[in-house]
Amino acid sequence: MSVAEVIKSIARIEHVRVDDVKVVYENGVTALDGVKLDIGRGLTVLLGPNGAGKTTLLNVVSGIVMPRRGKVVLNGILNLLGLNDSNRALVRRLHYSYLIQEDVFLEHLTVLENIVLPYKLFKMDPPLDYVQEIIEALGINHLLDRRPTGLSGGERRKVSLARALVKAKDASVVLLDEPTSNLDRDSIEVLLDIIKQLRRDKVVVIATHDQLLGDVADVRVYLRGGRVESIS
Amino acid sequence: MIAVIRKHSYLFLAFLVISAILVPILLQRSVNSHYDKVVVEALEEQDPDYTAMIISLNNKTVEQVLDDILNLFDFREFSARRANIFLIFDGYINNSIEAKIIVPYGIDYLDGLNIYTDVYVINLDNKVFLPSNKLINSSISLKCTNKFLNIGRFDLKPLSDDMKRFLEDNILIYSRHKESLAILIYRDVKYNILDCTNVDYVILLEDIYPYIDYPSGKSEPIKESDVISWFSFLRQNLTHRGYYIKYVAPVVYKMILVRYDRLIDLGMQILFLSVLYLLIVLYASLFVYRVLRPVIVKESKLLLSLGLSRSRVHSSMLISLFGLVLISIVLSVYAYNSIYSKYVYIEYLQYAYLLIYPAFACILAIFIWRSLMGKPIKRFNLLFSIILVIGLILGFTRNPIKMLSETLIRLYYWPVEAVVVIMILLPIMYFIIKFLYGRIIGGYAGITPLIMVIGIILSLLILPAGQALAYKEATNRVVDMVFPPDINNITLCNAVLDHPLFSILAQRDNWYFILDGIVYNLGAIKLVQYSHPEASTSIGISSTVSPGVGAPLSVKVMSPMIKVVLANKAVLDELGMLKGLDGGTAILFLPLIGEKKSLTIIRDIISLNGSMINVSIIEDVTDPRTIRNLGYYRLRVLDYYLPLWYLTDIDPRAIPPFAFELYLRKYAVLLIPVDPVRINSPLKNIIEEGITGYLGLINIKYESGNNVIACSTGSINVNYDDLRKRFTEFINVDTSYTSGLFILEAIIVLGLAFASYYNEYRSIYKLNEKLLVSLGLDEVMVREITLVELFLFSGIVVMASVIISYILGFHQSLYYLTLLISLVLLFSALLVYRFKVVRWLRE
Repeated sequence: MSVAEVIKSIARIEHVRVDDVKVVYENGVTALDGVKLDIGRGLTVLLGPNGAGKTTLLNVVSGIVMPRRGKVVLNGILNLLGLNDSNRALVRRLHYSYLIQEDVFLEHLTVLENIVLPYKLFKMDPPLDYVQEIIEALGINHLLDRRPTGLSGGERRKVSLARALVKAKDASVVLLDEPTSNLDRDSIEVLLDIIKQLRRDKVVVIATHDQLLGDVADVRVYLRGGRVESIS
Repeated sequence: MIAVIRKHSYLFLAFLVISAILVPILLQRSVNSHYDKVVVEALEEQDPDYTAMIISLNNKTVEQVLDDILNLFDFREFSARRANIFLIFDGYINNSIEAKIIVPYGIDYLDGLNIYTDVYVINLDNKVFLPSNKLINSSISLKCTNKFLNIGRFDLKPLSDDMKRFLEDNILIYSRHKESLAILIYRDVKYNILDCTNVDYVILLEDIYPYIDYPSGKSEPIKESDVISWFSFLRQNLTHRGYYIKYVAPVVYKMILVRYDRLIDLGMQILFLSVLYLLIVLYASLFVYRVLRPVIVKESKLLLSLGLSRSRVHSSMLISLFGLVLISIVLSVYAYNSIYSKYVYIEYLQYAYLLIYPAFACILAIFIWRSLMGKPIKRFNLLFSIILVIGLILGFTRNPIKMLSETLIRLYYWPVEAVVVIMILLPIMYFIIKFLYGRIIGGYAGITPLIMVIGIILSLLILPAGQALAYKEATNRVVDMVFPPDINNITLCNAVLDHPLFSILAQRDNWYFILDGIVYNLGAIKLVQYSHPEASTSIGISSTVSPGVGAPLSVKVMSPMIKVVLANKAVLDELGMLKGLDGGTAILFLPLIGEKKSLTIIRDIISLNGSMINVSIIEDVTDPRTIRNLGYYRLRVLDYYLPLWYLTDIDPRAIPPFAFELYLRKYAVLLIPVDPVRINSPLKNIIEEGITGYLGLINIKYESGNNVIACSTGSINVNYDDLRKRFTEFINVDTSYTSGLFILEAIIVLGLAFASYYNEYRSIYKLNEKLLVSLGLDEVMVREITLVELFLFSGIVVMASVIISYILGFHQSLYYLTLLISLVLLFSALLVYRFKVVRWLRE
């Protein structure tokens, strides 16, 4: 059985273990240093000041950034960082949903096309009912036919969230980087409701400064200077 | 702010591409429109039915001109009605047209006419030595009898009553009676106004040269007033008589382009435009990269987060990036090429293509690889695939296979050139790719960008500098070849024989001299006589019906050891003599390489004999059309590659390219001014004064009234040094006009450079401005300070460099080279300034 077949055979990722991860960027800055973390089902929130390494940790967990040393072990058996580039991508495609920090879109596509991009990219049919549900929940129905250009900051964030949350339906690991930035209070409440649903059967990791999210987290991880300061 | 910068960057990018395309077009059109206006003004008062029928001979083959004429009339229709056809020629050039068009080619066309139809060829010129009836009759005897009747030649200046009477009595009345077609074909309307009352059609055959020959023998450059006078004449003398006259060819347009050819110093054009192109390419690359990089990096992250592999994301991004860069390059190259290539081919654009080829090859390879390895990002890649295909089509307006084959030929036959190109291109390509890729995947390009910049700068310096040296050397060699130094009593034979070519040829058994033009015949005969009296098989073939002189049906053979056959090519074809050439060396003496007839001969020889025949071409530099191409010859003499079809309007598909390139590569071209007959040439005085004597070869006397041309050897003392000097001055053609054009282009490039760098560092300035504003300075003032600083740096550098180049730049290459260096200095200054600003900001 090939590695790709092994990845495809995994039904769900229940557990992610970050083992002694060290990330040093080109400019010599150490973003993560000896981070060890066990992340199970439920909501794990990464907290910490700017530059603490939250986003880098999400990038490592998603296999986008390769650390200088360390492992990211899925379900206790599969070292994500030991896979080659295409297999890591396969893991992300099949099991991950990742909301990156920036609101990036393919500008030539409409908002709706950007939301279903995770499916269209791989020629899959998106779960339209669920898509509609997320869109309505976030209140972005009126934006669907527009191009991303010209959207406000909050609208862009909502569209990004919608894309990640739609993808989250089929994912077992949900990574959200600053999901509440630029969102108003009502939208944050809606997001919290959705996250509460996701946390029941998925590994949800959120990097945020929003204490509101911290309050509802199952696990709170405080990072500082690239190290885990505390876990509660 | 990033969004704003990006938005403006796109605008700038669009401006860059559009400028690269439009600027040369606008320049060209602005000039042309002026002359078109002259035409319009000249014709606007005319009834549309009374338009002048003008057929430009310039840049047209004989067949094309013939087609132009014959296609206007359905001769067979007239013939079916048993109508006679009158072709009335006027002007001494028309004798050659008469000979070239009607005799060799028209026969075939008219051969199918009704046997009751007579074609009357009437020569109205008074400046021809030999009556054309012999010419006509001799030609008629080849294939077509009783079709032509040459009435004779007449002095029509001014049109005499006798002549009018003659025309009415003998031709026009007759033609009217038989419903015949009478066509007056003539040129030089300026001074030879013909009463064309009773002809049906008037065709003005214009063989536009940059000079007009006046009856006095004096040559003057064509002026705008000449053009106006021509059309004024048409209006006054033709249109009111109710003739159907049709405007056929944009004669004035052609003329101005010829003037371009005359004025443009091709060597410099090649040099400078090559630099311009490389700069444009550089700017385009930098800007596309800069504009797209933020987008690329962000989109990369998005696509990665959605589960695409890094290699796929980056390869597609790289493709996109290269695609855009290359499209802009291709478009700009295409624009320039399409404008200039028709008349002045910029050979160095080939290097731009050479730059593009490997890049395209890389892209296509990546496409293939990606299609094999995984599914592409559909819309994204489809879009760029379409753009690439369009770019390919635009870029390879000629047959892409041929273009590629040209490249391969170069690389194969020109090892030194190929090595230079590869040495320059490979590192550049490598660094560009590595730089872009490195930047995209994480910004660890390190020292690579610096090396890349150095590499590009070096290439910018090396290529034109090398070309400038080559140009200089070529010029010297042309001069040396025509006027060899340290020889006071030289003969044509010695001049030719001193060439290394002949030491090679001397080892061959069989020589074939394929000659075109009576004077060449004489020269070649002498050549053969002097050089190799023991040669066993030498055949001289006259491929021409010598215009204005008559077919050299008999020429005294000066060496009994040599078999010389002089005959019309048509005869040779029939006799199969060309097919008899086998396994020797053929030397072509061609007055004009651009003539299709000559090319046809070459093609015939090559196709018949393949690699068995070595072809050398000896050309006449005294002809304006040859002079027009001196820039090419300069390159050629140095064995620089030059596809022959760029010299001509001949369809290149009609010529076997490999053969040509092979043979043209083999031997240098000799430039031998030996034709004192042509009086069109600006070198006329030189020729009259000394060429013949200088050559010390022959005094040529033409004895009119028969076809015997007597030759005698002799020598006239001339001031050789003076000749050499004058010739040197002559080939260093006036470039003031094009210098202006170049400077304009330089300004445009400088503007682009400035704008690009301003745009590049605007974000830094913005920071700078914000800081200063936050410190309490007025915002407008801060912005002005920033701009002034930038302008100051640019201005100082450019002005200094221009002044230095003006002082030092006795030669234009130095000037442009200095200009180039000034650009580099400008960039450097801006870079320094940028770092200074950054450092200051950090502090």
